Amino acid sequence: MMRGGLAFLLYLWFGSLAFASEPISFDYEVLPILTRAGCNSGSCHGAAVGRGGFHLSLWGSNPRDDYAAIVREFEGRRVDVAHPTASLILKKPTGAIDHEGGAILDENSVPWKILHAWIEQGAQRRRNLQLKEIEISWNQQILPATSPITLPLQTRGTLDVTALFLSTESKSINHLVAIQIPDPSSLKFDTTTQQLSALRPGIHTLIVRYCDRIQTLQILTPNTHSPSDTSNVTASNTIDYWLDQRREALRQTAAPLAPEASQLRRVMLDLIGRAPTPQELSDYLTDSNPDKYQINIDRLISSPEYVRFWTYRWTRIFGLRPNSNAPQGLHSFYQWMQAQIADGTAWDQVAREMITATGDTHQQSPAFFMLLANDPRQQAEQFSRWFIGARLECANCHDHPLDRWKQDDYHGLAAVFARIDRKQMVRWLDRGAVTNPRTGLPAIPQLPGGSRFSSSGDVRGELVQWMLEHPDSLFAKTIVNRVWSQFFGRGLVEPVDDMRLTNPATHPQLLESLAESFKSHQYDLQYLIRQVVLSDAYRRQSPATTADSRSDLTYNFGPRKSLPADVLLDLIDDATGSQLPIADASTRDRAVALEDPTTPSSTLDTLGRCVRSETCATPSATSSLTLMLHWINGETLNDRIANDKHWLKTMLQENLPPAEMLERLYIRTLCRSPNPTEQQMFLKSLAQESNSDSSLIWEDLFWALLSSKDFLDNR
Amino acid sequence: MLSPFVRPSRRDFLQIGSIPLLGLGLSTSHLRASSTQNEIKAKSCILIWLDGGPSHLEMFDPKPNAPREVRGPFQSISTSIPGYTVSEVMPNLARIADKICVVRSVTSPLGEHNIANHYLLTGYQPTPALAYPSFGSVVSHVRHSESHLPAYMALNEYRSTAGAGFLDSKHEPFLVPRDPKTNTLSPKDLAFYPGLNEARLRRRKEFLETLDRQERQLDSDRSSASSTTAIDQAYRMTLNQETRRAFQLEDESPQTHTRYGDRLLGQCCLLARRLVERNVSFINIHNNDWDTHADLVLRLKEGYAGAKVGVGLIPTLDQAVSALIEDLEARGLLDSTLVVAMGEFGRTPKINSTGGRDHWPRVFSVMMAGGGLKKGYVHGSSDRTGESPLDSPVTPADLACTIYHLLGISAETTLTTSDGRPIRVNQSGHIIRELIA
Repeated sequence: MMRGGLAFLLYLWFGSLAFASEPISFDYEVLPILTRAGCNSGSCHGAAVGRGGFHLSLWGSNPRDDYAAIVREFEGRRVDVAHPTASLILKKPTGAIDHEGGAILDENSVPWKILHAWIEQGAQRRRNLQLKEIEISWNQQILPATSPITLPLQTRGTLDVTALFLSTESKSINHLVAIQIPDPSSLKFDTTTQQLSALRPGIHTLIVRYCDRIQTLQILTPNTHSPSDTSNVTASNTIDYWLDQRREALRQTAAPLAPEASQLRRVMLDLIGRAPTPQELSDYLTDSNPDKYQINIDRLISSPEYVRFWTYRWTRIFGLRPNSNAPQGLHSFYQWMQAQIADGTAWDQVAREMITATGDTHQQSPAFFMLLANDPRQQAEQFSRWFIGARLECANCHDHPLDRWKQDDYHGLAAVFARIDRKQMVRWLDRGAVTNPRTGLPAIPQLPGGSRFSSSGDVRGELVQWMLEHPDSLFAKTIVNRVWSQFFGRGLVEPVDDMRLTNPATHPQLLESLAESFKSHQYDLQYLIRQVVLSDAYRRQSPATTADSRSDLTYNFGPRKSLPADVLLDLIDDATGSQLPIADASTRDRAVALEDPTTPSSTLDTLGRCVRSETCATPSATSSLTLMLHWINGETLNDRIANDKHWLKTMLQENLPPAEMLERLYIRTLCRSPNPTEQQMFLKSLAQESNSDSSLIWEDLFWALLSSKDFLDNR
Repeated sequence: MLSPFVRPSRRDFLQIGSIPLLGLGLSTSHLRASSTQNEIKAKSCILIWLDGGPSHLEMFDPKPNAPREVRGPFQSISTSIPGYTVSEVMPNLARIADKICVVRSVTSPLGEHNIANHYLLTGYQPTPALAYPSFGSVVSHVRHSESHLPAYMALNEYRSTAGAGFLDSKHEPFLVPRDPKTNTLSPKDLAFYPGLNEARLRRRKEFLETLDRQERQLDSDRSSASSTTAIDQAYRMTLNQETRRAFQLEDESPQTHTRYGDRLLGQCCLLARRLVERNVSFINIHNNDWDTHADLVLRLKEGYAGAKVGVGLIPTLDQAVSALIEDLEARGLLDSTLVVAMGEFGRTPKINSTGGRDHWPRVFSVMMAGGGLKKGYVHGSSDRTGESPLDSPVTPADLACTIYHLLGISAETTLTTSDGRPIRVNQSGHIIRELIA
């Protein structure tokens, strides 16, 4: 501590000397100070419309314009070379005159002195320096780019950042970098001593930002008390190998495998969208073959139910919905997708066919894919989310603040899709453009990252080539991550389509390794899915709540997820033996078999089915209170329970002994027997109400079972 | 995804500008409001949304001296504000003009319904990048509700632009829809399912709590006692007589019913008053059919051909809203309740060939009352033909800023989108100081 403080004082002394003599760089000193102080953040002057009449580029991404804004605009009052201290850029942030953002710099502080010296020197923008890279040291050791830092609780480490310039000059930039901690409850960084400490155990992220360079560090903080208990670790699978490694580093303990019945319910819900019937369950439990889990998975993956369910999943991910330009298109696309799933078509091929599709959307073909976007910009956004793991939409209005994507990338990609005629007959046109708001001119078609297309005409083939081969494109990782999230309820990168330097995977090597093996197995989805469901990680006991599952970044527990409305309705129908229609005017079919997700169904609406056209992360606009009232008093559940033709009423006719009836109800809904507490509670209730109609008590229990977390979650 | 038993998370309040950069804008917790709570003048707000765009010329901004094709079919009458005249079709509002504020100089560039109602209902011009939250959803997000009823309720129906936007869907309004069979308002699923009763519901609750005992235990360990799960609120609303009583308009006297009128809007206003009495923060009343491209007399005044007593849109509104304001005042609630009546734009100065008026956003009128506003004040004016603002132009963003201000929410309050963008409650608006008492 003493030494750190002394070093800091020395640094201040020499540092301030340096300011007076050396010319201050606008790009490499002035702007980083503004970034570090938050002046150009999205909620202040970095907002698209600026703030208080002063606009800076977000996080200083455009030094040229920022220089003009600071030095030239507002009649030069922001900097006053003759009287530096009268410059608004010094008076505002110190609060010397009224500043909406408050006082954020102290007069005579180091950053203030740098700004002052820069103005004194004439407020020039010299271009003599060029940044090569930034180098991060952890406790005086240079940190290799991708390696995580292990930081136990109650210890501290020093983080130093150095800028290397092309002129071979290197310079400490500790006072210039912005250190961001996305989750403030995880880490604490002291900017005066450069000391980092952890606030709680876990996998943490820290972002170092300097000019246009961003580096993301992963910090691992192990549990202090409990040494890792490896008794549940028997891994042979790649997934388990990487998860176990990290778990050991964090000294955490994995839960045991879930009971067989839970494993079966979980994997059936995930692979074919329904729970086991009582018969299937008992067959599985009595099967003595040690390989039955794997054998069952093979059976499930080759079933027609698998094809139906994964067609449902992918068409929902791609936001399939009707388009009046091609009334038959939705059906044709659905049929095409179903054929790809059934044939096990390689996923690079599926993506290629969709992205390059032309022709009649009324024939079984992927052509309708082009009509899933309303316009070229939306199509560019969808393409980047679904296939290259980038959320490009920020770059519509400004360069992406947290990623490498520029406005030109966005509009260059949109310019490609601007050439598509989105009608029943999808065609490539030789005209069609979008305006790049940065230039005010038609955007030039380009590949993300800036290279021009080498061919002319329909360049989508070249785009696909880039997507599959270029290192900037994260195609394999994006698909792997999305499939992973279908099973685990969260991606290795979360949000699933937001892969960027500033948003690292919890397990980077695992994602890397899964993506590599996905590639080397010709983008075979079934191979990937098998790897996931065969892992111990997937088969472990689930935690107490779905929220726990999402926050279990070390995968100590198995997955636990809420069910989508469609799957839930099918599950209720299976349990109750319902014959009621699921859509407002439909023939009797399963909800997951509805080709058109917008098929009118007040039931599915109430259950909160996904209605937005984007990613379906957001359920429909039903407040949870509306849903709960419906659950209690509405017809969806009550009609299905009380119907004379449905399962419960038919079963009650048989007058089984209460204990056996109870067993059947539990198996049917929760795939397990009642535990003693539950049995006691219910039989007591039955005895107390012996005067009244016992079928009402059974109805009430059935309602409670169908409303219980164990039923509603896939766990 | 179904998440039936979500517990509304505790709202976190962060102060702006504590540490400028650490964690700023990159918060993983999606819903953080950093709020500077102002003095709350309006504890509740009733927004009467006139969907389709009401004609300023036939209501609050008549032009009796303009040429016939501008003047339109109605005469104007004097009001209780000396020198201020309104259309003859709203005698009650004319009588109580000394209790209200009228802004005659609202101006907007947006003349298409969907984008215009987004602007008026959120204070933001729409962008393809983001759906902004409406007033009621922001109030629900920022305030701690003390009511056993939901903080934001919608009566009849509501536009998606009056929804939660990028905020969590728990801030969507709780809808009390119109029952098309009876043309009355009844909350869905509040009454027992046939055959269900209090004893059975309690039994169901007990069974379910036994089944979910682990989760419930965890939940109560983790969060503060004040927050309740949606299902607990639903149980309470079903079991609590008092909650259901809020919706029992039959408890009101025949005189009150007569005063509000028996049409749907009257019922909405009466229910809104009952909800205000029960501390609901924001009530959005949706009133349809103001997009009058044809037949002004029939649609706005008569209601049906040859009606002796007009039952069209304006008389219905005149009766219901004047009743609401007088009733709130009589009960001592007007000073703490903001009432706003507006639509997405006004109508063209010249009558078209089908006897109607088309969309006109360049100038239009908004009526407000109570909740800390002046009484009997007319702000701004339009030119001779009601084509443009003549003085004191007001944008929908200004209007939104003022509404938020009265509700005690500063424009500075920051909301965070799901991808971490900080968004102010109001971006470009200014408080219309002249309106405030």
